[in-house]
Amino acid sequence: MDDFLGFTITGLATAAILAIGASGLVLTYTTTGVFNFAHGAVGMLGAFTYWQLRFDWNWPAPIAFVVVLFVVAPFVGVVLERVIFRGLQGTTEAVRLVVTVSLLFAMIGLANWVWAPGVSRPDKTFFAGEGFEIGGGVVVQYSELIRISAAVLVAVLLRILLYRTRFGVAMRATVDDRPLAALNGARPDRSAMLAWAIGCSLAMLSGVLFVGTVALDAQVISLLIVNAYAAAMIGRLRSLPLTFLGAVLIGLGSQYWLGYSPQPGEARWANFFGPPIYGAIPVIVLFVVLLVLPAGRLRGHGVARTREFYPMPSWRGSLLFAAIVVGSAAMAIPLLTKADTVTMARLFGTAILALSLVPLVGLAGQVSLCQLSLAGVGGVAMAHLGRGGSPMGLVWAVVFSATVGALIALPALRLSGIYLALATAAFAVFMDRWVWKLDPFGLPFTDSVTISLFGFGSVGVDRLRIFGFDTGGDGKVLWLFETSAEDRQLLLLAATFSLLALLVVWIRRGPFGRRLLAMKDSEAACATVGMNLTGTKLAVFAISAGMAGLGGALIAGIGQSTNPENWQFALGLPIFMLGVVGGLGRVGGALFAGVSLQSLNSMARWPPLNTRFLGMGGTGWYSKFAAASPGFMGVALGRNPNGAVSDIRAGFESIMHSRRALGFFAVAMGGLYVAVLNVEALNGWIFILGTIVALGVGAQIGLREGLARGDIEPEPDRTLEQFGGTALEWVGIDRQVTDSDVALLDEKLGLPAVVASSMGSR
Amino acid sequence: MTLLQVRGITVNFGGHVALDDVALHADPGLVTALIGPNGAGKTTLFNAICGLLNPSAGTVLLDGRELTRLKPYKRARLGLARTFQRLELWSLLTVRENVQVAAELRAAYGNDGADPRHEVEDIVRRVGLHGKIDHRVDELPTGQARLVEIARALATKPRLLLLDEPASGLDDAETEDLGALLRSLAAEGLAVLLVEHDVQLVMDVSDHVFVLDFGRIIAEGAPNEIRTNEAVLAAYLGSSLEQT
Repeated sequence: MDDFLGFTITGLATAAILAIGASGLVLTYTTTGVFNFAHGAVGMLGAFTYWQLRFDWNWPAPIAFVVVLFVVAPFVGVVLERVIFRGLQGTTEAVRLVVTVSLLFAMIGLANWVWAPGVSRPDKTFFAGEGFEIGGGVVVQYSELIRISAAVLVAVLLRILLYRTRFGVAMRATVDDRPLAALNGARPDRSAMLAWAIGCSLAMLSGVLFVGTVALDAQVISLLIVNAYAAAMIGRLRSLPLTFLGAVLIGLGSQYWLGYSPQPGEARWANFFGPPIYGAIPVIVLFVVLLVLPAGRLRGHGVARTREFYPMPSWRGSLLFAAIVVGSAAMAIPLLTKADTVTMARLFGTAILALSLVPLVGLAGQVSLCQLSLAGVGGVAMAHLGRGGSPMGLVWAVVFSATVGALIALPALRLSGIYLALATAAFAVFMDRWVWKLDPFGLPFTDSVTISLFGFGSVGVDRLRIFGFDTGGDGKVLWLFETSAEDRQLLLLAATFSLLALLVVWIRRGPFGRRLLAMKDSEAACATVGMNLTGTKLAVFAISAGMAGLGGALIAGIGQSTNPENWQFALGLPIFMLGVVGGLGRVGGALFAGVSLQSLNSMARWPPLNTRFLGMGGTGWYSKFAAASPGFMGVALGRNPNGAVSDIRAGFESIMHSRRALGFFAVAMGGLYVAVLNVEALNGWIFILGTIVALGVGAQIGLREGLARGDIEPEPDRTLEQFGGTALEWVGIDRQVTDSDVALLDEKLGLPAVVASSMGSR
Repeated sequence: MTLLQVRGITVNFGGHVALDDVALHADPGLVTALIGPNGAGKTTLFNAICGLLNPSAGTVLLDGRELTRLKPYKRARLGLARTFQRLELWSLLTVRENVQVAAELRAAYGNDGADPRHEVEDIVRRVGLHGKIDHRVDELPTGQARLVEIARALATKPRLLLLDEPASGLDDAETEDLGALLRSLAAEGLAVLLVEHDVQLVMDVSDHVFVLDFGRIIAEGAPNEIRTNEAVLAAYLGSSLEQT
């Protein structure tokens, strides 16, 4: 009984932090319509700032607390609202998702930049170790009491704010109908700013309350907020009381589980189902809640129409692309050091994972934040079932990951957008916190089977032998040139990427691809022409997961061993973000993700980039920047939903259509190749940099020639931007009609300019 | 023999009764019109018929078979197709691809051995959009986009076609062509249920008219009877009907 009381108090104290974090999330979601994936990261910044003031600079606790909560947090909230979230009004849910996920990633990178990871940071809770006894030997810590009281206070204040103040009414009106609220005298921007300020304060309050209870690690604290997502989802992102109830259920449930579940040694399954599951309980709750959420109506067109368009890829172009990829990999071999060859093989591994997102995200408009976890399933399958390099390992990798992918799709059958992102994130965190951490365990009714995923650390992976060809051996390939095992891995990965890229092109060109694009656009219309949406979604999730599993199996083969650290949720985020930045409607976007991620990381080895910067961090400033930059890129995405590859391709096309540009490019590349082969000081990375420069210069030459010939239109028609970012039907409602609007309309309609001047002078 | 029978359909949105005990029917070979002022519940009724909305009460029967518990895609496979008042075209695809998706699905579940590619060209030609077949649908003016929706619906080889304001956005000549198309579809044995604000078109093409007002059917009959029905005149049509 005393234990029970102790567990209850600890559970309630945990619940209090969850409730505060979740209420901030619900507040910003209900008042601005943006689900902030970076909410936990804001809390993490609060925790680190508090640590800096309180423990590094020795400020008194109350002052540090007040500064973080009432100065730093509102400031961060206002800046985020002005710089990022205001621009997200009217964008699609996908863009908002990518931007906030990127923000999460950027903030973790930023924190690791300022507060180097792996350094011991002594900290403690408020009144650490002090408390009072409530009988039976149960001691209530003051810090626990503070957490619980803070949650109660937050609940009361939020209730008053939302229902008893003008600001609260305005905030609630803003989310119902922003233009209407504005017409009725509310100031939506100001309400949104206040909501973000309060939301960030709540995030940082939960962050500060974490200090002393967990190790100060940017990633760990940022992802603890995933626990709060579950509570917020029990409140269906709307109800604060239900959110608090959810937090209490999760806090108590986890604590009781930890206290009362069988310990290892007590029960056969304890290694599997006992305490190890503790950390995963909140994400399991999250997944289950998402499964039982009532289905929304079938989605028709959103109000915010996307500007995306991905033209049909031609077979000729796609085959050329595949040939260039494999050819470049083969030609790169003599230029690369052993380490660089491995990096480049990994580049294609990353590109395969990004490619698995093309059918799922680019074509079908679904979301998955767990591709790396699915790749991990493939990696583990290859390790155990591909002994001796058996190709059956690859088959099992695909089968297992595709099956898991289809299971994850279950919530996707009824949910979309942010809920789906949450479900897939929950799955990835579930794998991180539970499955990947499992020690070898036995099955319940037999002693003969022990399941061991990573043994007690990592597990070896044999490199593939396929059709008698050993990708782990060395010797001549096709009687042409000498290769080492690393070279063969590079060729294997490049060839697999190319083949999968052709598979994706085949899907895009065929009936299934058309169905996916149709589903992305309007599910309602799909259903009314007889499309089984359930089957279609399951299929695309399974295909995508199978591709990721295949990629994971091959990636594991490169390093010849795999461990849980390879498949962490947070490591998978930049693949998703860079894929979206590159443009996931094309296979080129996937290659962009692979190239940019590996180049960003590898360039850190270049000495000029490996210096300290302003004394920050432990190693060179560049690696810190590189770690955070996928986040920065993702945050900047909002403006170009087609991704960067469209622009790169446009540049490349201008080269193809200009003889001078083509000539320049061919000579430059030939010269570069010969130079790098023969000059010791130049290496493969110089070649890549040189290629990018040659592409850029060539594109400029091509563009100029195209402009001179009149092939290329000087200014693309960007009507939305010409109306200052306001959709035409909202001009006059969102803002006043200006003379330039009228002139622009006249020009578009082909009316004589005199009309413009007479209307403009009204 | 009646193809579509709607019995006692009631739809509530919170406290608001959008449809109240609505009954109507549509027969093969006939164009049946459903008219009524804005907000009368016409689109809601369409949504209930094709399964995008679950009614609180009532049944929908197609050829005597109850559809009420079937998912929208199963209803479509039984021969029920529709267009949308607020266009639901797949704007990432071309005109050809929009129609092709429907035709390919039909070929797959219908298993009738037809070649969807040929059908697509025929259908697009029939609605008069052959010159635009490889255009993206969001490049088309609204009127032509509505014709793409009709073509897409026809590609499922429906027995019942629900059209939600197909003439809005069309000019006079195009409206006339649309009328001729509807008559020819009916002549082939299709049951057409038409929601339309263009009174002239309704009077010209329809065989039977239902009038919906505030979620209730207030009148039904031949176009000429509706033209002179006092309740209809009072509720809705007023002078615009008298002028026609």
